Order: sequence, then structure tokens, then C-alpha cells
Amino acid sequence: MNEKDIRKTLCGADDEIVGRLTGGALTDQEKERIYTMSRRKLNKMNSSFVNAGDQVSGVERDTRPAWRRYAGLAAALVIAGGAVVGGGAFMLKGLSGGSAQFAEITESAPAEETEAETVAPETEEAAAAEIINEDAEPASDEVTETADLVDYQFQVNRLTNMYIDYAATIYGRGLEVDKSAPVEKTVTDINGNETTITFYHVTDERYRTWDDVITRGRAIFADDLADDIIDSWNCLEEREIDEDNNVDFFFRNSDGWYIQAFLIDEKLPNWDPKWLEEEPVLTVNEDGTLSTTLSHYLLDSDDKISTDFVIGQVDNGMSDNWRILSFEETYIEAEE
Amino acid sequence: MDINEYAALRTESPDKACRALFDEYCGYVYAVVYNKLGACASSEDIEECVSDVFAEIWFGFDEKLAGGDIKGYIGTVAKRRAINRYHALHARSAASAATTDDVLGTFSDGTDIEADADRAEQQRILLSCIEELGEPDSTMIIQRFYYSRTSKQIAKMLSMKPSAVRMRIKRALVRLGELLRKSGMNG
Repeated sequence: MNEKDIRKTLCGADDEIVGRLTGGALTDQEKERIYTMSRRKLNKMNSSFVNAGDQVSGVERDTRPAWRRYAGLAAALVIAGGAVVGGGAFMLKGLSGGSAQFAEITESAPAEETEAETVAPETEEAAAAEIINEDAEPASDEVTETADLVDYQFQVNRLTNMYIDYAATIYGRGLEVDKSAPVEKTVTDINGNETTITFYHVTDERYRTWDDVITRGRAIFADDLADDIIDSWNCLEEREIDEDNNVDFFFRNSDGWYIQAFLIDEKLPNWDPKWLEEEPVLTVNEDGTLSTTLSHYLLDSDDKISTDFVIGQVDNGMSDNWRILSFEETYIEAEE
Repeated sequence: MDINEYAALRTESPDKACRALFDEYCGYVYAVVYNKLGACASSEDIEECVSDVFAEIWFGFDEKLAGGDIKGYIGTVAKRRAINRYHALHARSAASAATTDDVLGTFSDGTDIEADADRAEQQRILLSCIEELGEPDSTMIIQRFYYSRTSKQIAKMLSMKPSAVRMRIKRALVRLGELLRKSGMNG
């Protein structure tokens, strides 16, 4: 019996055997992800009064978030990192029952550039007055709040734009590669069939090495979320491909990293991902984090992905400490 | 948790009941679904299917349907959902004939009783030998060759280095071969 036989022998086992294969089947993160999905589906079923029996038979609609479906196995950006959902859908970490008091910022918040021009002088004047006259009133709350809003809007704009650019680029859009010397890797599936996969060496100045990918990820996401996303991409060392007989979309060696050719040649060249909303509408949460929801079209389709972001400050000892703390995608089918 | 405990908890707090049921049976449902879909579906499809199972169980739970055996009921829903998902995937994919036949071949049609009995016996022997390896080797073997996890993923689960995982798996396979030969299976 060889390694492949282990899988084939156990496949289709009866309940008694299956019951003994449960230990360690899932990581805590996977369990939470599945729990979140399950609760979301339950909420949907409850709210639409769908009879569970109706969903059992027939072909099931694909409800996976777009990145997961399109990117296949390497489910990069669909991880709802850090967002533990309790009794309902789309709740922020640490909150339950939707009891957070939201102070919604609407279109009354002026555009970023204009705001910066009008706020700064007032703030400086107020600060100067305070120094000169000890009895002077401190800068008004309104001025402080406005300055904060400017900064919040800036951070949300900046990080959400970095997010979409990063996501698209890592999966091949606009990524510089060397097509003149493709590299092939052969893996064997459990049926003994060999599959040859072609890769291109990435020559993009922005991401010369996989470490550059990691660095960029950590500039956008909180460290643990960045690590989760990058881990899920499973960029193996080249020697691990042979040892594990497995490879996903990327691998790396001392020359840098490589991306599957089909992503460059077939999947993303005609896609220009951008947010459909001109300006993110943000909400300031009680805990000081910011929430916003943005959407973009799925590739070559009228279907959309709506992404809920939570953005906040992390303790990294740097002045640049705003990061995406969590995000969650929802697939929205186009109306017929 | 038996059916009465679940029903009582559901009355007291539906949220707690959902969570408790999930925590107890998530691994089992995953194993059942994986058993059917592991050869032909992505990890995302499998997770989606598992979440469908729990949503159905929570939404449509009926003590009479469960017939007193909550685990049996859960297993049945899981198997049914997995088979539906298999057909859904097969309907829209260009799966090779070899893959399809291989997957279908693992599902007993109940007509060859002797073959089914032989197969079940092989499964029991194999699993017993894997369990005899002890932890963490038995978990590593199952995670690597049944759940197709990478060494890196297994290392993270077990708080080990990937190189250590690879080394232990290599040694564990040698021992497994010896155990299988002793028990009369071709190791």
C-alpha cells in the first residue's frame, strides 16, 4: 500500500470509520469560518422563511464569495479575518446583538482636499490662540471632530484602494513577469495522473521577492490578518513542491517567486478592478474603528462583490498605524 | 450531547444550542462530507457544504425526524448534502471520466456484498494501524494523506516546523508499512 492507497482505501468509508477520522480535521480558524457561514445561512433561511427541504434537492447555487470562486484553491482575500460573528450576520468583533452606537458620517463630510484646506488654518489659529492667551477657550470640539473626520476619510480611502490594488496585482493583473522562460512543475494526483503546471517568474519591481508581498500585505492589514491571508496563498519553497507533491498558484526560490501562467494569460488581463463608489461612506464605531462598505464588479460580469471593511489603529510603534482589521465579502448577483 | 439535551438547550437559548451542536459535531460533519467530496471538490466547496449541513439542521430540526439518534440524523443530512453537492459540481465542471469513475467507484451500490465487506475490513485494519502509530504521527498521516493538507498547514496545526512534520511523516510511513504487513495487508 502506498501513500495514494491510504486515501483511496479510506474514501467512501462507513460511519464507524468516518467517526474515527474527525480528530484534528479542522483548525480553530476553519471552524470559526464555517460557523460564521452556517449562521449567515441560517439567518437568511429564517428571514426568507425558506423550507430547508427545498434546498436539499437539485443543483445548488454557487454562493461562494468571488475571490474564492475565481481564485480557486488559494482562497486569499475572502477570509473574514478577525470577525467573529455571534447571533447575526456581519457583526464586528467583540460586539453582539448589534448594540453598537454608530455615528454615521454621510455626504455632509466635505471632500478630502477641500476639507484639508479649510480645517488646517482654523486648527492652527485655535492652537496659536491657546498658547498666547492662557484663558482662551480650547479649540472647539467641532474643529477637532472635523479634523478627525478628514483623517478617517483619508485612511479609509487609502487602505481600501491599497486593498483592491494589492488583491488584483498579486493575482496577476498588471504584474510584470518573464514569459520568455516559463517554468513547469509536475504533480501527481491521487489517481496517479500527472499534471504539468506552467509558471512565470515575477519580475515586477514592486514585488521582486515574496518578502515584498508580505511587507506590502502588512502595510495594508493588521499583522495577524496579513499572515492569515499570505499563509492561505501557500507559496511553497520550490523543494517543498516535490516533497508535498502539491502546488497552488505561487512558489518561490532563491531567484524570487513564480505565478501560475494561466492567471497572467487567461484570467485577469481584461479586468480593471475599481470601487464602484466614488467615495467610501464611513461609520465611526464606538471603539474608534471605522466601518465602510464598498463594491466592485466581478470579472467580465454584472455580478458584484460587496466588501465590508473594519479599519482601525494597531499598536505597531509606528506613526503609520492604520490598518484593515477585518473584511468580509458578499456575492451579489446582477438583477435580471 | 443527545437529542433531549439539544432540544432543552434550544428552548433555553437557540444561539447556545447552535454553538454547542456545532462544536460537538463539526469535525464529524466535515469528515462525512470530506469522505464524499474530498476527491473532487475544493476545500471551499467542502466548507460550504458543511455550513449548508449545519444551517439545515438548525433550521429544520425536528425531534421526530431525528428519531432519537442525533448523530445518525446529522450524519444522514451530511451525506445527503454532500451527494447533492457532488452532483452540482459535476454538472458544471469538466471533470475527467477517470476522476468521476474513481469517485463513484468508492460509493458502494450495495450489490457486491463480499467486495463491500472486504473493503470495510481493509478500512478498519488501515485505520487501526494508523491509530497504533500514536500521536502526533497518526494525526499527521490522516491530515496529510486523507485530508491532503500540506506540511506547512499540518505544522501550524501542531505547532511544529514543516521540516519536522515531513521527517516524522516519512518515518511514520515506514512504521505504518510494517504494521500493515504484520496485520496481513500489503504494506
